[in-house]
Amino acid sequence: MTVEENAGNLEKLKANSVWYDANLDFLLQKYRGRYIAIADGKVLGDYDDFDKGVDETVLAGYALGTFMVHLCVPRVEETPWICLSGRVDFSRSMS
Amino acid sequence: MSAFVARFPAVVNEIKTKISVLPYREDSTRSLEVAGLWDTGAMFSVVSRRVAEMLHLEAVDLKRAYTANGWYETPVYRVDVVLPNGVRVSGLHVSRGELMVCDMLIGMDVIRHGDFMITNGVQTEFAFRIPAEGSAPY
Repeated sequence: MTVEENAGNLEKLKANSVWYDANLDFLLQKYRGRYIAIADGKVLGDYDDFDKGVDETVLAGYALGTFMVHLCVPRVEETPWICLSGRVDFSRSMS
Repeated sequence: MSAFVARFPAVVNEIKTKISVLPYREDSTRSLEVAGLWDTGAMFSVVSRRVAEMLHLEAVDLKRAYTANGWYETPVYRVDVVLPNGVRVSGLHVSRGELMVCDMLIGMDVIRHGDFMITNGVQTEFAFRIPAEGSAPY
């Protein structure tokens, strides 16, 4: 994978996340508590297990890096990923 | 049960060991040995951009990492790590960040699988036993 391909995939990841947030109210009505695979502005499938979601989406023909699997819950209910270490800078994680 | 002990030449203020990281479920020949900093202040482990690029890691999710300076979006990768005692911890969800003194921050997602002990007399000794067996010896 080239640096350019990696950057492109991160852009897709960001786009999928933006779509998710924009449609969260609707998604919660249908998929609350489920892991949903998202790519190109649509839900590819819903699963009760994260790894199953990734594996089956790959089997369906989507390459890793072109979709995301995310637990569909309100943002305030997401388990917070806390990192209080002063050794890491996340400000450029998406670049 | 398997344990390892890291002995440092003096009393230290950070615990770093070699650790191998590789893409989830991949053959161990694809592993990359890096310097890992053990950090109980991190709920999850973090890899550097260098590790992500060298292992050609592909993100499977995007999460918010909450720090003392607010939250940041970070890609999430699935990886396995091999500890200094050869034990493989599989299926970790790690984020990516700029790391200052190492290539991997080893967080509580790894630490919680075992018993973690640091002693400081004339020198620091760090011991990690996996799987966890419970109470401290005092």
